[in-house]
Order: sequence, then structure tokens, then C-alpha cells
Amino acid sequence: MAAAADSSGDGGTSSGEKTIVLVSSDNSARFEVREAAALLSQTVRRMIDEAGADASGDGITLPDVDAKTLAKVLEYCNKHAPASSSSSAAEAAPPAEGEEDLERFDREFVRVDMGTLYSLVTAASYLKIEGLLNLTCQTIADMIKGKTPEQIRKTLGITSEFTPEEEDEVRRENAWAF
Amino acid sequence: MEGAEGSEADDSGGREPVSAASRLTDDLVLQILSRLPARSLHRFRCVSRHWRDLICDPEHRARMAQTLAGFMYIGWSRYDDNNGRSLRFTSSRATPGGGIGGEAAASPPLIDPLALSLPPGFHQRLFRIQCCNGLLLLCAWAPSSRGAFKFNYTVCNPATDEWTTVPDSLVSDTAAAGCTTARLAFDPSSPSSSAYRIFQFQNDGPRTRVSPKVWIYSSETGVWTCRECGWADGAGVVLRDETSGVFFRGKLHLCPSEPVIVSVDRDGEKWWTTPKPADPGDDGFLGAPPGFIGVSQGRLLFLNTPEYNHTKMRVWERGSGLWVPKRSIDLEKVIGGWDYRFGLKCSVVGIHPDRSMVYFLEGKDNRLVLYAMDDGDGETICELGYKNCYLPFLPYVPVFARSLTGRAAA
Repeated sequence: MAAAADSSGDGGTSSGEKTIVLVSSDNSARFEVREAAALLSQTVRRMIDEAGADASGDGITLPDVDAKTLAKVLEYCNKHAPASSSSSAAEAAPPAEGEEDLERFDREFVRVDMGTLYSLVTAASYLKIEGLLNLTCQTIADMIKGKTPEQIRKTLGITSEFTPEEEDEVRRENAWAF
Repeated sequence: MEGAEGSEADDSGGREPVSAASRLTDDLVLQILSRLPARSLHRFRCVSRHWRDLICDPEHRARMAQTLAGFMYIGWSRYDDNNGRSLRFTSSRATPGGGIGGEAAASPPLIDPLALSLPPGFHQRLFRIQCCNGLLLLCAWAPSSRGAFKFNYTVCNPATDEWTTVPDSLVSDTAAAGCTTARLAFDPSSPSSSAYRIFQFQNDGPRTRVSPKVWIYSSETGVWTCRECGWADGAGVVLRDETSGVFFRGKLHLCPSEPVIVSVDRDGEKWWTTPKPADPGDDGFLGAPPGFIGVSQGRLLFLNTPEYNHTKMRVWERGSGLWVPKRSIDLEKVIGGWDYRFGLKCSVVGIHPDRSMVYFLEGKDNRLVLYAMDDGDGETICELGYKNCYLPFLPYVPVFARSLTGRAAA
């Protein structure tokens, strides 16, 4: 199995696969993950390219992602990463998961509180992880789909800023949608 | 470090409420909004000034689900010198003075077909149209041929003014034109969102009732393939340009004159025939009209008049593999007074995709009537005029995303 997202992890995996160290914004946690998992993030991919041959033993710091969110994001990446291409080791990386299994994982993965969900969607956007961004945006969309504007304002903490006349007008124009 | 961790259902208790919106950038809000259906988007214009501006911004239209804008048809106009005939568009909103639900009054129509960049003379050569989820399939005579008339297909997105011609199928001469009908299968919300298919159903000949073959064009491969039509079990079905049909969740459904609804998947591999739902009193003696099939609020609906009572229209909804009767429409409310001497000329032309509304074309002057099923009232939208439009008259929901590569005809 790929190295767990545990700050006390060290070395490579027993199959000798390349790993990457990612560090949370407050420097409080270091995560060692399989390269395939880390590269699901286009941002990480770019950072590695830019660091070039100096690819750090120090790990890559992600200034916009805190430890708790990073741990959760890496849970997603580890699950969704493609299987290792090197099949030499006896203890191979997990085979590419079946689609149904992934769907079930995704459904469970987003059963979190709103605060975590917003952190995840923001992190997915910053890290440019397409699958996670799709999943989190779709989840939020599904949550708000049937709601009234008042409920949306409350859930997302938005102030309407409409004057009473503006509010009347926009409600009237879109009355059919209620 | 963040604020409240309560689930969306409970209140933040004593802690400061999370101003989650401040953490969601505009781009993220747009990502979320782009995944909502049209009805929700209209409702969420009322959330805040900022959301209203985001949703209504023309720059973002390509990402937002749209609702019914109007109808496309081939019609005549008395005032332009286009030999009168052209692709035409009429808005589904009532003309000012008869506003529906307070919608903004008189704005110019969303689409001006004559302003599209189609080749010169195209409109006069147009003889057949179909529409699917914002894309149009236009069938026109090829310009250069004399004596041996050929036709070809053009796929057009009128909202983005993109169009592309489709390579000739092997069935494209005059004889074929008389006994083919075509349908477009396009779903902008599916993963391969710019891909479309064209189904060309070819009858044996002008008088036969069987459609043994179908040619399917795939925009992904650029190739037509011929398949055996899987509905021809014995009697076969008659499909015409006016045959009602809809492409929904990967399947094309059609209502021929026969008492069945036929369906096929987008690859032409699976074929289904299901009996049309009927009134308990129907016995097949008079024969029911073909009926109308469409999608509203995410569900497949079928509308038809009972065999023995053409003043009523029944509405059935598809659910759990069955047609469930939902309601009846009293057509006398739709046409508001009817002269028994002339018979009832009233046909369904569309169902609103996001509201409980049905559109009818009624009477000799082709009056477009909107019927709100919840209110039980009919309302005139406009009069298209005697002989000023050809069927089919097609509901049109615009798609602003650019997806067609414009390969202009030579």
C-alpha cells in the first residue's frame, strides 16, 4: 500500500516507488505520498517541474492548504491515483479500483460538514485536482438545488444587498421558478 | 481555524456563523452554478445582487443551463425578398400586454435566423429542420446540382452562430428525400458534450410503411454507418418529419402513427418498442392520433387525445418503467371557443422543460397558445398566420457553449 498520510512516515514504499512529500501551510504536517497520487494535482505537477532537479528532500509546501484539509485531499488522491506502472515488486501497488468502488468511495468522502466541504472545494481548486473539484462542486450544487434564496443565504452566509424594490423586481421576474 | 462545523442542517450554535461565501471565489461559485438546472438558476437570481449579476452576465451564459427561449420552424415572411421562405424563430414569451408571470416585456427576439452566417441562398434551399437541445439539423438542397438534386445536412447552433456541414450520407438524392426523415441526438450535459449523432431513417420507398434501415452519423468519427432498424418486427413503423420525438438520457424516442413508442440508444444498438399509453375507452377502432412526447422537469411525458374524445388531452408521465396518467387538459380552455363546424385543429408543439406548461398551435391562423397546467388557462402568445409556417414547429432551448468546429461548405 502507498505510504499512509501520517506525518511520521518515512522512506519510500516497500515497492521502492517514488514518493513525494507534501507539507501543509502551517508547516505542521508532512505527508509522504505516491508520486502518482500527488500528480493528480496539476499545481503540484507544476511545482515539481519548476523545482527541477532540485526536487526537494524538504518536501513541497502548499501555502494555501492546512493540515486537516490536506490529509483529506490526499485520502482522495490515494484512492483515485492510477495503479503503479512498475510491477516488479512483490508487494504491488493496489490495482486500479473498480468504478463502482470509486463511486461508493466518493459518496462517502463528501459526507462531511459544510466547513470541511468548503475547505475541500477551495483546496481542489487551488491544487487543480479535476476529479475532486467536480465531485465537491457537484455535491454543493446538489445540496442547494432545491433550496429557496433565503436558505442559500443562510447556508452560505451571503447578504442579499438588494434594495426592497430590486428584490421585488427580481422576484417578480422569476416568480415561476419558485 | 475555520468557524462553525455544524452540518448544514443545524445552526452554528454559539459560534460565529461561517461566512463561507467569502471563501468561495467567483470562479468556484460559477463552477457550482454551472451544475444547476435552469429553474434553480432563475430562482437563485434572488439570492443576492452579486449572484444575480453572475448568473445574468452574458459572459457566463455558456456555462449556465438555459430554459425554453422559443420555437424554430420553417416559415414564410411577406416582407423580405428571400423568396419568402426561411428558417424562423418565435419567442415563447407572450407579446407585451400579455406578459407571462411578469417576465420582462418586449426585448428583441433572442435569435434572428436571417442574421446567421449561413451561406447565401441557404434559406431558400432549406426544406427540413430538426432540433435537439439547442442544436439544429438543417436539411437543404445542394446549391450546384441541376437535374440530379442532392441534399445535405448542416448542423447549426443559432445561439453561437456556428455551423458545420456533414459529409454526404449514401442516401441523398431526390428519391431518398421523399422517404427519409432525420433526427439529431445531442446532449450538452453529457460528458462528451460536443458530440452529436444524426439518425437518418430510410423507408423502402415512398409508399411503403417499413423503415428497414437507419444511417447514423457520428460527429466523433465523421462517418455514417448503416444499421438494420430494430423496430421492423413485422409491421414496421412510419416516421415522418412531423413525428414527435425527443432525445433524453441517451435514447431517442419517437411517436409514429402506430400505437407504439419506439426508442433507440445513441449507437443504434439497442431498440425498444413500447405500447403507447391509452385511455381506458380506446379500442383502436378509430385510431388515436400519433401523440406528443417530450421532457419536462426531468421526466418524460406523453400527451395524446383519447380516441373518442378529441376535446380532451391526457398527460402521462414515465416513471419506474410505466406510463402513469397525470392529468387531463380541456382543449376548449386552450382554444377558448370553438366552432363545431370546422373541427378542432389544435396540436401540441412543445412542453416547457422547466415548468408545467404546454404549447399548442391552434386554428387556421396558427395561433401559438400557452397552456399553464396548474392554472388551467390558455394564453395566446402570437399568431403566426395562415400558411405561414410548416411543421414541425420545434421547441428551442439555446446552448451558448461553442462546440461546433465550423467547416464551411465550399
